[in-house]
Amino acid sequence: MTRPAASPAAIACSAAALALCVQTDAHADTISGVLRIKAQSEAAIRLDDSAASLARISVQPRYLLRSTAGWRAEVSGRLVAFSDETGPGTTETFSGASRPVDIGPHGRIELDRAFITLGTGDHRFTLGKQSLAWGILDGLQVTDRFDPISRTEAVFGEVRPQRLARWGARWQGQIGGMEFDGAAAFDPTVNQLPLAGDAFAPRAPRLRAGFPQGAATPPVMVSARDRYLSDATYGLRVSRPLGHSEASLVLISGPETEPVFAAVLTPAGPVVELRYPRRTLIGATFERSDGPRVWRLEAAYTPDQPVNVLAAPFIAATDRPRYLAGLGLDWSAPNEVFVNLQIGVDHIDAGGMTLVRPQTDVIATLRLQRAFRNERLWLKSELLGSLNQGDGALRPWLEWRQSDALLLSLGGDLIWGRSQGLFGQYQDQSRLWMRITTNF
Amino acid sequence: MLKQFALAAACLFIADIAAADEPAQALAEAIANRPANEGRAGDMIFELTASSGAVRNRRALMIHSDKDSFVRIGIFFSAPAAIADTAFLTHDRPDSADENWLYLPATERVRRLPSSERGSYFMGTDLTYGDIKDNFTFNLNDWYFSNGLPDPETGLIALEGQVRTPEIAREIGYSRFSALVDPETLFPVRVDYDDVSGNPLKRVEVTEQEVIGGAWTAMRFEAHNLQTGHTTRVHFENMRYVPELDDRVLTSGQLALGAPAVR
Repeated sequence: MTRPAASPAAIACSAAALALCVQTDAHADTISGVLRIKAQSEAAIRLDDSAASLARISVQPRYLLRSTAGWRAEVSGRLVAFSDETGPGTTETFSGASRPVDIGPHGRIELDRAFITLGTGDHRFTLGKQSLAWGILDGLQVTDRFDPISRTEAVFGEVRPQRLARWGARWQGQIGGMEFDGAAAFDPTVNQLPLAGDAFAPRAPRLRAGFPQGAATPPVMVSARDRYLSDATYGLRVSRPLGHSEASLVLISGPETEPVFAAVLTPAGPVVELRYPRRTLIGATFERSDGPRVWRLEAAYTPDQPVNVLAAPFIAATDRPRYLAGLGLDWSAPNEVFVNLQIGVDHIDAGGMTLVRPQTDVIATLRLQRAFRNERLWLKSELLGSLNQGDGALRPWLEWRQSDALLLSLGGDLIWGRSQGLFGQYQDQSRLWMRITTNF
Repeated sequence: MLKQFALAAACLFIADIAAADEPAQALAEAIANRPANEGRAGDMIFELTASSGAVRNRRALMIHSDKDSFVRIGIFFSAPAAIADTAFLTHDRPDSADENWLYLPATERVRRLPSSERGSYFMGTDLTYGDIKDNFTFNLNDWYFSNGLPDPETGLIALEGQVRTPEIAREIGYSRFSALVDPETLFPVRVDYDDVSGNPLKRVEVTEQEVIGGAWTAMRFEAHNLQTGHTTRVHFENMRYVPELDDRVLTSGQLALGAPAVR
C-alpha cells in the first residue's frame, strides 16, 4: 500500500483547530495555558532471531488552554522517528483531514487531538479532533466501538486500545437524572493497520479473507476515505446511576473498523480492496461496586455485521448478525494486589455459510498488578488467551519511576499458539522490550 | 492465623469495656460531627520523601463539599506532568457504602473503584483512601473508643481506638490507634496507627489549622510511615470557602474534563 501525502483538507482542519484553540473570549475572566511534552524511546528485541523489532523515538507535545469562564481547549501531536520492523502503519486508512504526514522513510508527524470544549453547566459541547472512550471493559471492545483503532502492534502496544481521534462534534448533557453523550464524527478514518511485511501484519487466514499466510494475493488497496458525510459515524450513549451501579445504553452507526476484503477488477488487473461498510451497534453496559469488587458487564448486537465468507475461488462478503458480550471483575485482593479478570464472547450467526473466522470467539484476560515503595515500582502482568483457539500471550513488565519526570519500563510479550489463531499468528514476534518515558 | 485470632480476641475484649467508655465515645462523636463548611477548595501540595531522601512532589486542586452529611471530595492533579489530569472523586453518604472513581488520562476513561478500598494507599502517598475521605475523623462504625481523658503532658485529650472486627481491620489497614485531640478545634493533631498485625505503622500529625468558612480546617499535615521511613507532607495554598459550590463539579462525568474552575 502507498502512503498518500497530506491533503489540503488536513491542512485546513489543522489550521481551524489552531484557530479554535487560540481564540479568546473578551468576557473570560482568566485564561491559562500550559505546555506539556512527553518524550519516549522504545526498543524491542525479537526472541526468535534477536532482531530489533521495535526502535523508535517520539516527542508528543500537548498544549492546553483553560478559561475560568468554562471553556477548555487542547492541541496535541506527535513526531515519531523509527527504524524497525513494527513500522508506523497505514495512512490510507485515514481520511485526508486526519492523515499523518510522513517525513522521509523513517519519520512521521501527526496531529493527535485538537478540540475545544464549551459549557460548564448541564450541557457541554466539544468541537474538533477528539476521541470517544465508551465501554467499561479494559481492552475488550464490546460497546467501545466508536473510535477507530491503531493495530500496528496488534494488542501489544503501551495502551489498549490505541485510539485514533477524528474530527467531529460531541454533546454531553444531563437531563432528568440521565446523562446523554452524543457524537458525530464527520471523518471517515477507520483504523491504522500494519503494512505488509511489518512485524504485526496479520498472518491468520481469518484476518486475510481466508488467504493463508504466504498465498499469492492481488495488490491490496483501501477503499476511498473521503466521504465525510456518507461515512460519518454517529453515536449516542445514555447512562443513569442506579445506587452503587450505573447502566447505559449505546447506539452507534458508522463504518465498520475491521476491514472486509473485496475483489475488484481494475484496468491494471484484479486487486483486493479493504472495505468498511456501515454497520449499526446496539449495546448496553452495567457496572456495580460490591465491597472490594467492581463488576462490569457489556453486551452488544450488530444486525448487519459485514464479514468475509469462504466461497473459493472468489472473495465474498455478507452481512450477518453479530453478538458481543463481556464480563469483567476488578478485585482489590489482599496485600494490595489488584486483579482484573475479564471474559468476552464474540459470536457471528453464520446462517449456514462458512465464515473465514470461527463463529464464536471466547477471549479471556487476567491482569495482576501491585505497587511497591510508594508507587515508585510497579510489577504488572497480563495474560491474554483465546479459549476456543488455545493460543494466548503472557505480558509481564515492571515500571520504575526514577523521578517525577522519568519512568523506566521493561517487559516481555510472550506469545504462543498456532498460526491461525488470534494471538498465535504472532508467535514468532515474542519480544523483550524496554521503554524510557520522560514527561515535562 | 495466630495474629488474626489475637486480633479477634482483642476485639471481643474491647467490646465489653467499650460500652462503659462514654467520654471516649462522646469525644469520637464530637470529632465525627465537627462543624464543616459546605464547600471549600484549595491547591493541595504533596511532598513525598523516601527514606533515602529522594523527594517527589505533587500538586492538585482539592474540592471538598459537605451538604446534609453527603460528603464529596474531588482531587484533580496538575503536576508533575506524568500524572497531570489524573483525578479522584469520592462520594460518601451516611446511609450507604462509599462510591469512588478515578480518571487516568492514559485510558481516557473514568473508572469506578471498589467501594471498600479504604486501606489502599493514595497515589504513592502515605495516606490511604480512607485517610483522605475521613478528613481527620474516626468512623464510628469502625472503632471501639477508649480513654477520652486529658493528657497531662500536652493538655490535649487522649483518644484510643481498637478496631471492631478483623474484617474492618483488613479493609482500613489499621487495627488500633492512639490520638491526641485538640479540644478547641476537635482535630486529632497526632495519631499513631498500628497495622493489621498490631505493629506500629505510621504517625499522622496536623501541624497547622485555620478557620475556613467558619470551620476549622487542617492546612498542613504529614504522615510518616514507621515501617518504611517514607514521609508525606501536605499543605494547602489558596484555600477558600466556596458556599455556592456547583454540585455538578463533583460528579464522575466531570473528572475527564480536568480541574474545574472554582471561584
